[in-house]
This record gives sequence, structure tokens and C-alpha cells, in this order.
Amino acid sequence: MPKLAVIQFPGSNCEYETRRAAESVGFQAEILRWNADLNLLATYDAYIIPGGFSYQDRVRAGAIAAKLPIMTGLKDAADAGKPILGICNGCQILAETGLLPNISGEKNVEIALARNVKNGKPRGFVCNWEGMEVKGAAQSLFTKGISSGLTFPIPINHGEGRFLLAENLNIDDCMTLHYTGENPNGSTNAIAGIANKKGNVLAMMPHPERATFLKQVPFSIGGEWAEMKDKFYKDEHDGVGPCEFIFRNMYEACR
Amino acid sequence: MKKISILIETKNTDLHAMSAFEALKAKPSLTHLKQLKRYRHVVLSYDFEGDIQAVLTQFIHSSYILLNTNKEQYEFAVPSAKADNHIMVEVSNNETSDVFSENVLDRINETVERVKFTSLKESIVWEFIFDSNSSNTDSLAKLVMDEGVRADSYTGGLLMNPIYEDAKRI
Repeated sequence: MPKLAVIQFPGSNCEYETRRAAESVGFQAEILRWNADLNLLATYDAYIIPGGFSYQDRVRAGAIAAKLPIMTGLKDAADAGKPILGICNGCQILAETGLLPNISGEKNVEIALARNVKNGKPRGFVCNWEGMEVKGAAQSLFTKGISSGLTFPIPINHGEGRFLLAENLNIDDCMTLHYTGENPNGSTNAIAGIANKKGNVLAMMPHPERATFLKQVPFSIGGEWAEMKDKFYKDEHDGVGPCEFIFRNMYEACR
Repeated sequence: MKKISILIETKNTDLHAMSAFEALKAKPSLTHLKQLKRYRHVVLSYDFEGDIQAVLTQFIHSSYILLNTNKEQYEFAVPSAKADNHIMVEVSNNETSDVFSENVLDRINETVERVKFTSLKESIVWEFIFDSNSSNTDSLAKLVMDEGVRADSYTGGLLMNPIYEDAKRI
């Protein structure tokens, strides 16, 4: 059975539901601390950096965690083609390490997550369900088999989720996730997530672990997913949520 | 247009500076770093002939818009290095529109009636203090910028994100 490590940093707060989401698709998932031995880290087949905080987001969100020794282990795992998913604070950490999009191939920092902005004003913390669209699905293992253009609902929960790209950075060869409605945080091109050029590392600000099971979807968002939830409670649906495919594709890549 | 500079630091332990110091001190090239201080630096442009420091002092102590006097202390001063083994670096947002500073400026102008403030620029000033017998100031400054400040890679610095910030020695 493929083993997945959910890496817990000081301040992580989504590690348990993330582990639950990974277990639901078949992973033997374990929570591993940030100061774990790198030899132990290397025994896992896949990795998730969960949401929350790390080091109280001191200096910048993800900046301190990105300098930890465990990141050298994750760089080796990325080079070996293992799947790595960063969610929310995990997304911010991966951006600060330069692991993605890694267009140059030299792992320089090419993207940043800045404070939220909307309509030319500071936006502050946002907590909502948003629509999401996949672009370039075939270019990443996380979205393998998914139709480009697929849209699905997912919750966001962040104060620093505004994607900024280095000048003249061309990300056409990368799978990207985009907000479909009104841009909630001022992200460049409404980007909500981006994979590396190789396709095995994904950083996304929204929380897929909070939309893995249909019972997590609120009726208030309406539409087909709310209808499916209604069917689930009538035993007419298997209960798979809109973002389960991300974890399932990770699992399939490890088999 | 006149300008006034305000330097703000925390009254108690600055956790940002503490974590940054621990992270940087662990780098082999920066083991002779003895202390790292962090200041918020605010520069306000204004059009007023009276005692601007008195106006701002009254404003600062009657509002929490620019700083929180319960947690932070301030002085009207321009940051400058105090000795050869001190290196000061200013990190500022380089986006075309700094909506965060503009928002604070709007709130100040809504509160202070006697003065029209025309711009506000906020930045972070980091003060690196090295061993007194460290090498010459210029080589220290280069070391600080390359190893301490520019966070352009895993092995690079920490204090400035190259995508949306600039840094300069002051």
C-alpha cells in the first residue's frame, strides 16, 4: 500500500482531515513532523504539506519553513517524480522554496503569495466556497484523466493567497487552477493553484481536503453538488466529494 | 512637499526578528551575526506649516491606525547605521500600487483634520549587528544582501521576496 506523509509544521492545523482524505483513497497516511529524519522521509511515496500556519507566518507566510532541512528531502522527492501537494500554507511554503513552477529548472523562486486585494483595496482574510476551473489537466498527475475546463466547488481560507508571477514567466506548460467567479483575492489571472512543469508538485491555496467527501459540501452553494448531497442522504450517491480526484490521482500515481 | 520619517519597533520581543535571526544565524556564512532588529519605517509627505510632530504625536496616541502604543514604541527619525558592524537594509513593496499604504493614508486623512497628508510609504528596516571584529562594512553588506536578504532560492536569503519586494542598504 503506498505510504503518504502529511508533514506537520509548528502551526499546521489541517493535518488530521488531510490524513483522513488521503486514507479515503487508499493511502497509508501518517503525520510526520517537520524535524523528521530525512532517511525516514525518503521512505514515503507521496507528501502533503497541509494548511494552517508555520512559525506563526513570521517574516512572510511560509518563509521560515521553506528554509528547513526537510525541504532538501522534498526537493529530492520532487526530482524523483514523487507527488507533492501543498495546500494553503503548504502552497505558500512550496512557493518560497522554488519547487514550482520551476520553469527555469533551477528551483529559483518564481511565484509569490501576497496579501489579498480586491477592487484596489486590502481584502483581509477570506473564507468562502469558490468555483474552480482546471486548465492544462493533462500536464499534471493530480488532474490526469480530468477534462480541462472541469469546474468544481472548493473552500478557500486565507489572508495571503494572491498569486504573483515573476516578470515574463511563461506558465503555459503547467497545469493551473483558476477561480471561476469574481476573483476573491486579486490573484494574477485568477490563479488558485499551479503545478510544476514536470507535473508532480502542486501548490494550491484552496482546501481540497475540505471537499473530499460529499457531506462536507454545504447545501447553501446550490447547484449539482448540493443536489448530489441530497441524493447521498437518500442513499442514492456514493458520497464522493468534488475534490476527491486530486487525492485519488496522487494514489494512482504511486501504485 | 515636506516629509517626516517615523521609526517603529516592538516594546516586547519581536518574534519576526527572533525567528529570522535563528534561521539566518544557522547559515555557515552568518555565524558571526550577533543580533537582528526589525523596525517598521513610515514616511509621510504633508503640506503643513505648524508643528507636525505634535500633530502626529496626538494622532498616534489617540488612535491605533499607524501603530499600537501598547505594543510599539516610535521615534521621529531616519534610520541609519550606528557603527561599522551594523548593516541596515530597507525592504519595501515594489508593486505599482501599494494599496495597503494607500488604505492607511486614507484613514489618517479621515482622522487628522489640520494636515493634508499626500503620501505614505511603509517599509521594513532590518538592522544586522555583527561581531565588532567582523570584516569591513562593504563586504558585510554584500554578505547581508546575498545570504540574508534576497530570498530568491532555497539557499538564498530570507527577508525579501524577489517577486514583489525590493531591498536596499541604507
